[in-house]
Amino acid sequence: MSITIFSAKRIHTMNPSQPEATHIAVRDGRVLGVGPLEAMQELGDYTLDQRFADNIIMPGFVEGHSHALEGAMWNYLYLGYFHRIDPEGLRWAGADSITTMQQRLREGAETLAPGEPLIAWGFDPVYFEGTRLDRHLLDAAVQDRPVVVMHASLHVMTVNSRMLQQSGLHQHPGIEGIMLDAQGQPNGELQEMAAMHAIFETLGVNLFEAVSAPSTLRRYAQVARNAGVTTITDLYNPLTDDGIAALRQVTGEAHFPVRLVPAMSALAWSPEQGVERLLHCLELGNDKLQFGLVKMMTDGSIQGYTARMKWPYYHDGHANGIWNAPPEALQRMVQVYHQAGLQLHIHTNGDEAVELMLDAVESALDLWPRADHRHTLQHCQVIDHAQLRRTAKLGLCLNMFANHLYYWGDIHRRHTLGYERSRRLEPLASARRLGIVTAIHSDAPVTPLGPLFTAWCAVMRESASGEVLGVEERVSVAQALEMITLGAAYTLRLDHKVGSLEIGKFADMAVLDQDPLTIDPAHLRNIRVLATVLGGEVHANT
Amino acid sequence: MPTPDPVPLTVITGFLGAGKTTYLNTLIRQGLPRDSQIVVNDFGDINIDAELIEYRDDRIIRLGNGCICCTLGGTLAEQLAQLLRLKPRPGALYIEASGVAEPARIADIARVSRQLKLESVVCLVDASQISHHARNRYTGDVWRAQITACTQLIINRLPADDSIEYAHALDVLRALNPHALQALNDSWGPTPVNPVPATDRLKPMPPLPSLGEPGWRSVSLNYASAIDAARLERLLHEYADVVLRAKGILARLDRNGSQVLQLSGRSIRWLPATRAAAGNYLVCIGIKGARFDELSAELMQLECNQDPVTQGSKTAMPADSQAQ
Ligand SMILES: [Zn+2]
Repeated sequence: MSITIFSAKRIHTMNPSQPEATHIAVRDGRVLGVGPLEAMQELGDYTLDQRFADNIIMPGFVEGHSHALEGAMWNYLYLGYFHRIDPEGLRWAGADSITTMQQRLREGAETLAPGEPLIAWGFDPVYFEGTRLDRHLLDAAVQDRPVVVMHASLHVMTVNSRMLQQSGLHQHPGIEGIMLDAQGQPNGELQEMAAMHAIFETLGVNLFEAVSAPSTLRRYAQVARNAGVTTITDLYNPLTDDGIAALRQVTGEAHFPVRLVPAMSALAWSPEQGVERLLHCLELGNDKLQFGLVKMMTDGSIQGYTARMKWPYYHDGHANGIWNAPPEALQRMVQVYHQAGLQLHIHTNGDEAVELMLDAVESALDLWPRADHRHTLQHCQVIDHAQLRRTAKLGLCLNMFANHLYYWGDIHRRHTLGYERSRRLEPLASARRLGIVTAIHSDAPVTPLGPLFTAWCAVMRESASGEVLGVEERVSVAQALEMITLGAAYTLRLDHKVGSLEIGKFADMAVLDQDPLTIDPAHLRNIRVLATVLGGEVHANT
Repeated sequence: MPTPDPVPLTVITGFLGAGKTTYLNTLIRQGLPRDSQIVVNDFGDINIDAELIEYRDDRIIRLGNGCICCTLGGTLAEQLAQLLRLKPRPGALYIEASGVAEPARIADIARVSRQLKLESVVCLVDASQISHHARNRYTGDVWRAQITACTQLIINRLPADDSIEYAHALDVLRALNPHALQALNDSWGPTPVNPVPATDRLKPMPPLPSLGEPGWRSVSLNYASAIDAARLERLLHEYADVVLRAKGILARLDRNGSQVLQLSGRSIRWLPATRAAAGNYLVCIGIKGARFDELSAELMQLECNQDPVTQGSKTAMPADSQAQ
């Protein structure tokens, strides 16, 4: 087989034996060698590919916590504050004012048949303090059809008067989750499952029905590719028969641009069924598809006040959050999957949820000691220091939600966590000091997928308003880069195949226009991804 | 298009072991509206709840939870909307909620839906567990929320009515929800479940059988050494008429390492337990009667037969399992 050698201004390999190089040789989709060009003459005939000669090459980024739902969101109109790149590579400008948003809604409505509901997503109220998006603002844009605007957090929506009328919700002030205006009338903002149910009931469809369809997965892969990601999770996949077939279909297609690592949603099956299903799936993977992860949901989210917090609970006095399943059932689930030799990724937002799961993992390890289990706590945003020390002792990995520092940092500082706890929001430096393998994530579609932005959050720790949250927990750029490559790969049990550029591993790369290690760290988020390489195949920007 | 009559929704809450399934079965035996739909929103280890409901299989769905912090799919809100699109529409809906469900949030669904009307929110409480649940650091608040939000409170396993525990139990419950109708489990059985207004005239009740059902029986066995798997399979087949479910983590004479045994329906499955299990146990659930007792005795012999030496101190002991 032929050898291709890519040259670069600099290659950051993430290989500790050779952190930097200028050339990388690829054969059969794998790295044949990294080093200076002279050293490669011995490899045999090669083609020198110089298209990235002026660029920086890194290992392809690994996103350890995001959802294929991102691919389904693009069925609907994008209304986020920040610009976002759609799967086709089209840049959607941020809708950064109510006027812009209204204009975009009007344009969106014009593309639909008369009466067809208009659904939009990505609106983030955090950036519109003082103005509440309500039904009147939506009515001013579109009133001849139902309009539903899903918020970025995915647990709140704002609808127009037509939608309220059609769903009958206008008659129901006084139900939790139906927000009211000063006159005591529903203002169009809806939260909680009761109001959501009424909307789904009226629309007659579930908004995310297509979440495991091949078309959704292809879009998801495109979004990943645009962000320089070459290995990506779908961290809550029910792994139905159809879902498995779709995963196998798309990863079997030529030129599919990413490797997919689905994690089975544990709560979709009884633990026994789940173990059986996953053991069966282990055989069904390929080079671009790896099974084996289990995802458990323990509590909810901090900004939604559904995370389970330890004393003194929420800073503003809000009642403590809720469990996603009975704690005994969750602990038993840990036992069953652990003893079956599978790897758990456990959603724990609040520190009480962390506590419960540390207890569960500890007792599972008592019963079934197991080296190198790599169970990973996901989010663990306010994990405290005693818990970090236990995490280290128990051999757990952490994957923290660094993007929260920016997107909800101000909310946490003022409402949910207060001053002290917001200093240790995503305590990444402490986790590193304890030698815990740590990754960072976007949780797309909850926040936009973009490992370099996520790394910037971990390094700068700036909220949207510019406040630095806990300077002591800042990590270096080099550490942050490891978290979005080798660290994340380790939590997926893929560090022997991806996450660094060294001989024998997949030739997966991200090509950047600037060097993250020499640029001012404050500009990390502005670095552009020019292309990715997956198994030696170049996927250039569209 | 005229809106059809709303479908009545009953929400049944309570912690694991409080008697939710028993209560539901009582309702079923008294007769549910035509094409009623039962939704079991629960998780668990030995999750036999859904299998012990005596209703048409096609009208029971087991619902795992979606993500509560966002709409990552599988939410109760979505799934109920989907059920109401069934033809024919369900005659009534019963949700057996997960142990940590906030009933108020589920009840709100019926309050705002144009296709549902809220019939009642029932909460079952195991009186013998009151102080345990009230003090639990992880779930004490949910337990209280369930009692506060119900319209009908049903108390099981009340202690004797002249005891301090009895007075204490009622004090705790009344303080949380003075208005809920208190129905006692003595009104179950052949007579309809009718809410009994709150009253001081509460009688102590004998504890429910382990499975909360006079017809069921369960046996748990702990073995001290490896067992003969083929013989166990033969036994389970031979007594298939009285065995509903069996599961366990067992050491087998013919294999190294532990195996997970699962019997449901007629099929027995062995899964590798990849690590040595701490226990070596079997739980068997079936229909109460002489044949089940025979089976229990045989299961106890499983180990003794092959190795008489171990008979004695740690021989298998039958025990009631907390199967619910
Ligand atoms: Zn997530």
